[in-house]
Amino acid sequence: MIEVRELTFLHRGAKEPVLRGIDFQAKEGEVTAILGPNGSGKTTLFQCLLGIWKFQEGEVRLAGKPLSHLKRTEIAKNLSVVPQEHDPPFPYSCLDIVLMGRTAHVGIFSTPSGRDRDLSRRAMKTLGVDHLAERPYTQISGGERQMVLISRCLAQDAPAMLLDEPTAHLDFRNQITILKKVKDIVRQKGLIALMNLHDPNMALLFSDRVLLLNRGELVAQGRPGEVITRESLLEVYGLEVEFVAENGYRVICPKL
Amino acid sequence: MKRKLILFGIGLSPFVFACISLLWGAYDIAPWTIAKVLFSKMFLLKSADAGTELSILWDIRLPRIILSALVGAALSGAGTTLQGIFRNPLVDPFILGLSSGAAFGCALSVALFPQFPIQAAAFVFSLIASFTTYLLARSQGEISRLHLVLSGIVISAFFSALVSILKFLVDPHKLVSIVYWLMGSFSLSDWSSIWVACLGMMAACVPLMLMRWRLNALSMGEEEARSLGIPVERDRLLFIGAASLAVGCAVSVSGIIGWVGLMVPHLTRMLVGPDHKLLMPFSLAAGAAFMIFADTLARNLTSFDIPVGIITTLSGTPFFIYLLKRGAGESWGK
Repeated sequence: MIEVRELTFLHRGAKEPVLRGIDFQAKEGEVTAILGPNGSGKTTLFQCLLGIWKFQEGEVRLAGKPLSHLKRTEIAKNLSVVPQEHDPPFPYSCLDIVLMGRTAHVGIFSTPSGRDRDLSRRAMKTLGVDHLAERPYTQISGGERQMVLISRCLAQDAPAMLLDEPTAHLDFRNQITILKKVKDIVRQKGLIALMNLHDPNMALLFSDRVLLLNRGELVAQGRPGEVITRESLLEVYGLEVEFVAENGYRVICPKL
Repeated sequence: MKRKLILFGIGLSPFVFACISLLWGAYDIAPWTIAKVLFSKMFLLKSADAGTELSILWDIRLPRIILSALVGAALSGAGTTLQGIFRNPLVDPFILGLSSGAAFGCALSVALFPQFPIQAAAFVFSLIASFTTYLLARSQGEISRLHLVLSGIVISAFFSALVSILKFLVDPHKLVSIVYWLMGSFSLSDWSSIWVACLGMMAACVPLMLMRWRLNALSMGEEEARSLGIPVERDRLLFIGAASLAVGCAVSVSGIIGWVGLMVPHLTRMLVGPDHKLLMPFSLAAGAAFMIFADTLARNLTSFDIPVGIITTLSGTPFFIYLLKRGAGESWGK
């Protein structure tokens, strides 16, 4: 479980906090989506959870242990990340990329063992990208890259996974495929997934819980259907929307 | 199969070039004599008839081969490391100012403080230079390629200017030795200079080899490396420290030999791929082979010894232009 209590963070020298009194829990087997407009603090929240930024107030606990007591490798054993923009400087093979997930488990003066390779290959198989193992990561498509990065999270073997806008730059079909895969894996393996999303429709379709961020504050949290409403979207995005219901699906449609 | 052959070839290349270099010189020695002389020397057998051959091989050619191999390996290992941690295929010890820093340290020790060991001075100033470059490039947050290269040029120019001041101040006799040494040459090698450099360069290459796999994750950028479980600051410190030691020791025995740390890792990456687990050992081997080769040419192309630094720079310039033209090629990842 990821527990965040009253987290407040401001950049050095800044007057206004980027995040104010953030308070939530993310549980095993659930996909928690974080929604909010650009600049609402979604990415900063991730960076605070990873210990990249030191927050001034509040507390984060990963699997019961306070984040401030954890070393880099211990954080990595608890929390894996699918980063947003991704362009490695060298054309590593996809297997090399997935193997990097084993960094926290491999000693500083050591290289990955046969077991690490097996785990990485198995992770790639789970995501259905084992055929890409020897291909250069720089030459595969955006959707394939996301799959490789999610396999890397599995290889990292952490109970929780952060996905920073996993559907950005992807075509429609790939967006759906990736999010479906994430949801399946989270169910199957009882993982904790926390992901930033831009599209509230995707949150309705694929998440179990939603956190709605606005200007650094958590304005609502709960089941997607309860949090994503006409009123909340108007408040947070300043946009008039209509809900269209058909065949048991509820879809958000902006008023034009 | 083809890949295994390439790997085997690179691994073997230092020994092949070493043999060529032993054979090829101003004084002709038959291969059979070489084998006999070296064999008897190594196993402490007496051989009365080979006095001249023995001293040419044992005191002149062999020390140069070993030293050039070590310097080549050290420079190319440092280059591989710097390209990895700065995620920039365009940098090497020369561009980032490590070489100039080390050169200043050496010149300082030669000109003003002869009691201070030259290797230590080279290491200290190479370390200062690399950290200044790093901090300068970092002041903009995440290190950009442009800032890094520009910072390196600035630091490099700064230390070159300091070396010029020293050249201006010292007496003409010392000036000649500083100038000739700065051009980069192995012509002064003997067994006594090998041991110190040998220890320093090996001490530097051991951590580079042991930690090499982490360069993969480090090259993905600061934030990603952290999320993978790498304490980025500590690891960079270790890598930069080891690379500076390698470059400092190399410069202290052979002066500034440019472009090796750029060319060799690049060529090796094209042949064996970017995974540092393989790249590091093979680029050490290829660096050694390249330097033995370049020094053999330096020794034999003309009737006198050309500084080997001139040869590497002459071959490095067209290579760098080729890389710039190739721009978005494969080993750039973009």
